[in-house]
Amino acid sequence: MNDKADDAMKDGSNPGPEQQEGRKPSVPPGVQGVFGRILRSAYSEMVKEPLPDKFRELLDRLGKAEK
Amino acid sequence: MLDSDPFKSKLAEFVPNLRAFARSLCRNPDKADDLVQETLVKAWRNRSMFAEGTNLKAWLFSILRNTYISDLRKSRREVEDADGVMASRIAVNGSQNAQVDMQDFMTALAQLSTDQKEALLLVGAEGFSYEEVALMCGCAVGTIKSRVSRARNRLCELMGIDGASDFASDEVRG
Repeated sequence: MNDKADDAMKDGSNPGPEQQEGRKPSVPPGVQGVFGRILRSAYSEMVKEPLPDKFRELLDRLGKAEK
Repeated sequence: MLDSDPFKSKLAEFVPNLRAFARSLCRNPDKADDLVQETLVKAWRNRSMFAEGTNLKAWLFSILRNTYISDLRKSRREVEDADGVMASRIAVNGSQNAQVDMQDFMTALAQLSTDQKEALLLVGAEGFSYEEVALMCGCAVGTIKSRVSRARNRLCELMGIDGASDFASDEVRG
C-alpha cells in the first residue's frame, strides 16, 4: 500500500480525486473479505446464466467465413 | 461443430466469464454482449498471435478490456455512467439481508471509475494475479494494487461502511 504515491506518478492518466482517495488507510478489518465474497457471488450468478444462442452461432460462423 | 476446432472450443469455454466481466464493466447487457462478440471475433482473427501454453483466459480478457476502453474513447458521452442498472438485473439467491447488501454493493460498484472497476473485477472476481492484470492493462503491478485498494475504499465510502459488522452477519461469517 505504500506504492500509492509512486503509482499516482507512474500512472499519470488520472490525476485528481483518485489521488486523494489513495491516501486513505485500507478498508476496515473484515470488509475486504466481505467485498470479495459479494463480488464473487454476484459474478458467479452472471457466469451461471444460460448463454444466448447468438454466441454459439457466432462461434460456428467464425471458421466458416474463411473456408 | 465447436468440438472440431480446439481453439474454438476453448473460446466457448470462456464466454460466460467474458460476459460477466463485460456486464460488470459496461452495465448495459446488450452492449456487453456486443463486446463479447467483438472479443471473440478479434481473438479468432488473431489466433495465430496467441502463443500456445500461455494464458488464454488472460489474453481474452485483455482483448475485451482493450476493446471496451477504445469504444469508450470513441463515445465519451457514455463514460462512467453511474446509474447502476446492472444491480437491478442480478438475480440473487439468499437471505433478505444478503440481497440488500448485494444490491448496495453492485450499485456502488457501478459508480467506480473504469480503472478501479476493472482492477477490482479482474483481481477480486476473476482471480487473476496482480501481475497478470498489470500485463493486461499495460501498467505497473503497484498501479493495479493501488487501484484495487482505492476501489475498496471508494466502495466503503459509497456504502457508508465503517466495519464488517455493517454487513448482514451471514455474509461476514461466510
